[in-house]
Amino acid sequence: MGSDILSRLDGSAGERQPLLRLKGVSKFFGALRALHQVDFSVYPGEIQALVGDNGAGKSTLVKIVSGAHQADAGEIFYKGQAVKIAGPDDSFALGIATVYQDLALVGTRDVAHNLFIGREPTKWGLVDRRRMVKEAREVISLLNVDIPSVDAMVSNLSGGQRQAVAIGRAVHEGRSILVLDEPTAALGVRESHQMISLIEKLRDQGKAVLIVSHNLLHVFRIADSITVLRGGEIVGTRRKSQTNADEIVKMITGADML
Amino acid sequence: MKVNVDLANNTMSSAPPPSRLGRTSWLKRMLGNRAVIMLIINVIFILIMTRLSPYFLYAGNGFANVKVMLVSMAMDTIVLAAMVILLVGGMFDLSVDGVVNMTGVITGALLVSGLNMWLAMAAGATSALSVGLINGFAVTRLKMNPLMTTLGTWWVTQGLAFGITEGISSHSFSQDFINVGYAAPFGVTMPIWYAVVLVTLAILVLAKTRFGYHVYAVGGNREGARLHGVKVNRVTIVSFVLVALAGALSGIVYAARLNAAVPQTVNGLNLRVISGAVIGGCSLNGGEGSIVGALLGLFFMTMLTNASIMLNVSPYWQMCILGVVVLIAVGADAFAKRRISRT
Repeated sequence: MGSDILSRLDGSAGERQPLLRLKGVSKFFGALRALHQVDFSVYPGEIQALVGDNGAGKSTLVKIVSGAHQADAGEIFYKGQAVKIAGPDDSFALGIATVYQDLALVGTRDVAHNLFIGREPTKWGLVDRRRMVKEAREVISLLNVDIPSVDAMVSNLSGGQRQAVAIGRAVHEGRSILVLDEPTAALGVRESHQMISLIEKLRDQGKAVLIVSHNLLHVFRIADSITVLRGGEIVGTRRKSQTNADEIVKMITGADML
Repeated sequence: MKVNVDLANNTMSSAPPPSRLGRTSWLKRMLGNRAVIMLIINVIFILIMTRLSPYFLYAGNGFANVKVMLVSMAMDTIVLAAMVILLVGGMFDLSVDGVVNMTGVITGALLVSGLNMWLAMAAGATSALSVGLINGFAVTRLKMNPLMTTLGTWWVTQGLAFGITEGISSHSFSQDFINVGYAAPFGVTMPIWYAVVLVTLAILVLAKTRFGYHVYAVGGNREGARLHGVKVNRVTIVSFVLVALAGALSGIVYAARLNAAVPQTVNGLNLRVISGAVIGGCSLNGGEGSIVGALLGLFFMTMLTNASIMLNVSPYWQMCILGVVVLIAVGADAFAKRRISRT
């Protein structure tokens, strides 16, 4: 992995294999170039942050990883094997779980169903509601959040509780790669801190975490490594220990180019 | 600082605000359920009507009026059962009137031409199926607006019904065909059997199958459901096809009961069914509603129409009353939602 930016920057990680690696990924929307030749990796047991200004291509990158968009060019490797992510199912099959910025929850359904949308367990051809409720309770207690009941309607939950449901959906079934798009954007201070410790806990369980955030304070608190996108291109990747907020801000805004 | 210690353990002991949820009383939850409210309203309505008109529940002639109401409601329920699935999935279908009439006319014409009864009915059902597929594909793949699409297919199918008959309805069908609508196994007439079977199936589908769960998910958050791997377009297309097929059954049963295939057999069935469902708790935005609630809403509308006849209210004023009821139902819904979002 000598060509990988991250590996070069972090000597101790030279032998590690990324769980997921994007190579030369490009994406166009009509004439608009959303992503250009993006190389990017996430490693197990690490929180990789992706930062950049509005329109830098962060969400597009997330959607390519989650299968909501397909790359126009480039390759994706999972544990070194070239793979194709043609839709949400492919992404799921690779063990990738995505928590979207708008959470993609169904407000008119209860917590239990929201944890299982699209993958409802069945028994004799019918939905196994009992198993859904049982597993939902396990997930909620694992996350240690104050969701009143798995029967509660999601539209009645607070922002933090909804975020927890969305993440609960991702961690259940033991997904190995978590993609979190702006996980703290809609949260208050207390809830943000809970979310951050939850993400750290998931990292410590060995999951590869990719987190997209505007909030540099939160990024510096939890990320192990920070990648900056600008105008659809990777500006650079830094280990947190070897950079500071000033440098990252310069990379985001392009001030170092002036 | 204590908070930091807590965060390190990822516990919630830093005094989370006491949850207002999960503590809702049994009574409050029941009153929040539209089906329960409709049940109460229906019972009250029946009690008032029995006072106002001796014939409403009159037992002396073998509950004749109740039977009339039940059969008329059963005919609507055939379509309602499928329409609720479509509504919960966030769509609606105005074309069902045309589909009912077209299916009846096509089946009737083929019967009169001497075709085997089952083949004639299959041909009618196939024509309906294709309308359902067209509606579904137009709304999903072509992203056409469901209101205008199904309005268009309503006109097309209604026009076909007129065009095929050219004003002359086919009639005088075989007794076998008439039995499709008029037989009465165990003393219960066929439309009620169809309604009971379809309602049972629809309840099962919505509440117990993955398809039903997906219908709710698609209606509640279409893009979210898609991102989670739900085949949202397939759910919508299948729902449109179910409504069209229910319309086909309705058209065939009407033709059999009338012993004639008239191009204007139903007129306003679509709006009656959708309104009944909305009164019973379905939302045009999708994601909400139940078969039982919709059935109670339709029952209320059926009783209201019947009661205004009993009380000698002119048909013109009946329309006004039904309209006001629909507005009250929609208004109550909007009011309840506004209160929730304010708190």
